[in-house]
Amino acid sequence: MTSRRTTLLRKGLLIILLPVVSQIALFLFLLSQQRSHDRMQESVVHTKEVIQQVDGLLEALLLRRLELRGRLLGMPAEREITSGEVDADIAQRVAALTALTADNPLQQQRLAQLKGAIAARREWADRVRQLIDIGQQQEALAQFQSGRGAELIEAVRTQMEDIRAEENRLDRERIAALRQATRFQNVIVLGGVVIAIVVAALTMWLFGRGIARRVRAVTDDVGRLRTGETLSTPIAGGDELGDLHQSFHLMASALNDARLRDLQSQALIGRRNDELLRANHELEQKNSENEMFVYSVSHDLRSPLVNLQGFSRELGLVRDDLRTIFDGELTDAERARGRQMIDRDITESIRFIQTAVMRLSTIIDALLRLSRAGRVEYQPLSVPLAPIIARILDAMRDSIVQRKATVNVGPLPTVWGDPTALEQIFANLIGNAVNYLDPARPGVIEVGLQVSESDDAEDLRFFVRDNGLGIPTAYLPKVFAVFQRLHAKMAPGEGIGLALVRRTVERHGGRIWVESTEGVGSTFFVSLPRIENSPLKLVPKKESLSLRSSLSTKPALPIPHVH
Amino acid sequence: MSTDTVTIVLAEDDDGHASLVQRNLERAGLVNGFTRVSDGQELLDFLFAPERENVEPGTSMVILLDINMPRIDGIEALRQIKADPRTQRIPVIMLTTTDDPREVDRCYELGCNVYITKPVEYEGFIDAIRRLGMFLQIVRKPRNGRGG
Repeated sequence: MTSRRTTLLRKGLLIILLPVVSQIALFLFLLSQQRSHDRMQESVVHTKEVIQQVDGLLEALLLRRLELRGRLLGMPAEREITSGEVDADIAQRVAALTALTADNPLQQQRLAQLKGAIAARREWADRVRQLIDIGQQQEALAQFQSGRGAELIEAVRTQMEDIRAEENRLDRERIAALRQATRFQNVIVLGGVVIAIVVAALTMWLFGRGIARRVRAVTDDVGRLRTGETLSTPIAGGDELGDLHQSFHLMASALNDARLRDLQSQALIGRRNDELLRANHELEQKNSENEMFVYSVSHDLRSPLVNLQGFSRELGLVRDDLRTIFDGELTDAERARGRQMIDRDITESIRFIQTAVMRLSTIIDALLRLSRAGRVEYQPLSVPLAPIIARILDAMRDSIVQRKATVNVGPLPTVWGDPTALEQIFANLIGNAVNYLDPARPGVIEVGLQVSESDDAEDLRFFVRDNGLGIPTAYLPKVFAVFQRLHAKMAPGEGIGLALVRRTVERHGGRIWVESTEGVGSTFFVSLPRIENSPLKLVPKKESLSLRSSLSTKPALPIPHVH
Repeated sequence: MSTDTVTIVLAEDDDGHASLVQRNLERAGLVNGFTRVSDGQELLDFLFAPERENVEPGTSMVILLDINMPRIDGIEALRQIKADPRTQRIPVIMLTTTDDPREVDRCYELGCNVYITKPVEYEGFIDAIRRLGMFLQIVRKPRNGRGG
């Protein structure tokens, strides 16, 4: 893949060279054109020179003739021009012409003929002069009149005319050629400009297509990556830009992977956070419950202690009084008083002390029971409730009959939980319902399952309803607290029943609450979760582990390393 | 100084606690006019009973008030006593097992005179009652003079 690549450098060089080469070519062409143009111009000038020379020659020749004529007519020479000078001039001009037309063989030929013609005329003219010089003017004149001189001049003139015509023709030719060349040059220049523009356009197009467009593709993709859109297809081209774009795509996909993992991590963190918040909230609740519990218990313990302390002190005081009595004279009055102290004061004190001791003992037992209830291991099963309720009612039969109460039991399903615990719950609730009936009216107790309006019921909601004494509104918050007995005289108990029941219900993952109106009756609701949502699993586990297990790391997305 | 004109009313649900207070008051000779009620409701019934309208209200009575009582508790009773012009001048001594600072503040805000925690240190307690009684007697006379 790497051997046949045209690198960016080569492409760039190509793009640069294109216009440069075309410009150089144009320049060279123009240069060569200029040279031939100059040459042409030279030859035109040259031709003109020849013509000029020819004209000069003709003039000289005519002058010679004139001089000759003058001499013939005996006129004095107006000018100091001797024939020798003229001849020399003629010879010079002819030589010049010969030199000038050295490149033209035809002209050379003519010039040779011209030279001959001139020589012939000179010869004749010399002869005539000679005749004139020796005084034979008549002969000279006769020569003149013979027309030989005119013939010879005519021959010369014809030759010269030919030469001149030729040169004229050449001149015209060359001028035309020159003009054409000039025109041609202009065309070339114009064409060169057009070509330059075209080449420039071509270069721009090449650059745009090959490089700028692809660079833009890469930059666009950078932008797209930033905003999270999908990237364009990788550009072709076996050069560095292609490589760049490919690498960019790889990087982009790596980045997207990293982003995805980041999102997943954040989601994970969010979930953990929620779990922690929930656990924290639960802990706070339990904590404040514990605090209230400790507070109320220590409060309840203090009351019997007051009696213990007070009446033991009383016993001491009575003992002192008795001692005083027995130390002195024992009158009847004093004996009576002493007896009263023994019978009344001491007896009462001892009674109150014993009661207080029993009360303390009861409280301690109840606390232990409550604490044990939180720690006992449950054996969860699918428990049909109907037989349990039946058993409870059977055990309470006497009490029910005695209070002339009616008990209605609705259809009851199977529930997931510990059988003993469930029996405790309902025994307590039903027991309360029976014990706190209003003696003024016949008692009616209902036990059943509340059918919910929506079918989504995650929990099973049970109720135990009575038309008994009810619970005053002010007392409702304390219903499930310990040792808060509302009607302490109506039934035996230490006041931990409902607290125990609530603890049991909550350990099953459920809730318990009450709706009551004083003087009308009360309804206690217990909702228990279905097996899917129950915290009780088949393998019984210790209470202390339950919190930890809810925080344990479930199998989640592993947090990957980014290389 | 005779203290037998002071009527002491004790509102207390525990019989043992009530007996202790009564015994100590007897021992101090303050037992005349001692009345015991078992909860807040009984206390209010006693205070606002129609037959008491003739007796000069609040001048020779001291209320000893427990907080933890069934039906109407001490706090509620205190509030009602101090809200009613007939009874608001009666000195009230809180006598209770709880020593929660919030409860203490609340009682003082509602207008109790003293807050005493059980178990009671009875010497000081008796002393306080005696002095309260004397104070009331001193205060009573000028008010009578003004016809109030």
